[in-house]
Amino acid sequence: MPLGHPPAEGGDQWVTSFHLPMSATISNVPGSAAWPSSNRCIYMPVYTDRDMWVRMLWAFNGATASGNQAIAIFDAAGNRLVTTGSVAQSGTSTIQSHDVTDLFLPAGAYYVALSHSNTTGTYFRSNASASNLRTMGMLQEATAHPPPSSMTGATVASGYWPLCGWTARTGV
Amino acid sequence: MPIVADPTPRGPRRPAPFVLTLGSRETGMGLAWNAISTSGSASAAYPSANLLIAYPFVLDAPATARRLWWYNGATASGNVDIAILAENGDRLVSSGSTAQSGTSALQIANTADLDLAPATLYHVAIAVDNTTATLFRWTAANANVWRVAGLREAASSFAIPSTNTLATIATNYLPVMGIDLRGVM
Repeated sequence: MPLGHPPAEGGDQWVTSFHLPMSATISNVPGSAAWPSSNRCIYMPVYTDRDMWVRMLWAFNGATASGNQAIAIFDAAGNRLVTTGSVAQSGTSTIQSHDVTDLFLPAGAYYVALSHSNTTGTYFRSNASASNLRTMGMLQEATAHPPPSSMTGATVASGYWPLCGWTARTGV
Repeated sequence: MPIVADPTPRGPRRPAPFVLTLGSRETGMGLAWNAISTSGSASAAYPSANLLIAYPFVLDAPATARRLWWYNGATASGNVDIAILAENGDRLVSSGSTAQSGTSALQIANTADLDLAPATLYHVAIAVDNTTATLFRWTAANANVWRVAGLREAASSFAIPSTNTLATIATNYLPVMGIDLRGVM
């Protein structure tokens, strides 16, 4: 990161898992669906070319809320930078947001991670095929709720691409 | 190939992606992306035996190509070769002729690690030795869309030779293929 590059305070405040390259079906509209496997964590790459602040993490809950969710950001080496910890899923068909310790995020490659404790809780997600999600760099980890301090990414097994992310704002 | 420092200091650099694919910003495919089918990629027979199809990319940061991959369609047949080519068409790394294996699934070739320099134009190229084999591929309104996205092709190029003369693309067939820059996908 070049020194002196100011943190993004204007246009790049809202970073979502849908920043992934759209190699999958670009007409795929997210819909509500149950989390694919208890305690699975799904890692979604995001690439930022501006420095940013992270102030809140969020996920788009689906039609049924159940169990606990956790959202985190990892660096490219797999180190967890910030997390919500395990929090009861609350609210249906709405965005659930979590205030986290402000994190300065230099431009770079990161993962947004979402884990869930059961398969009753739902999220708005794209159901692009697992193969397509692999080509976009997504990974997953079993028995990883809440997300561990160091990720061990494995091949994605489900066509499940949840809508979640972070914002530099203090409200979502 | 050794990594060379980017000789042109600039502002913030976009990091290299973990996986290079067609929708990556590094491919410059954005212009064409608005003109292709919105129904997604689909399985289709390879358009011409021994045809090489290539798309360009430019990284903003150095990275290492660890594996090359493509997306097999509903029928597997014959052999596939996938490569990274230099701007002038020279082959930098390739899988060599590889039996197509698996249907409706990714096939990954473990190739020699290749360091890629920033601000340098490369191509991902694929060739198939028959027209029974299928790949997932994108189509556009016509091949001119791929021309403006920088795609190139070369006939009679299986297995992919060490040097290639890349010609204007006339085929409306963009295979889903790319580079694993992380080593797991």
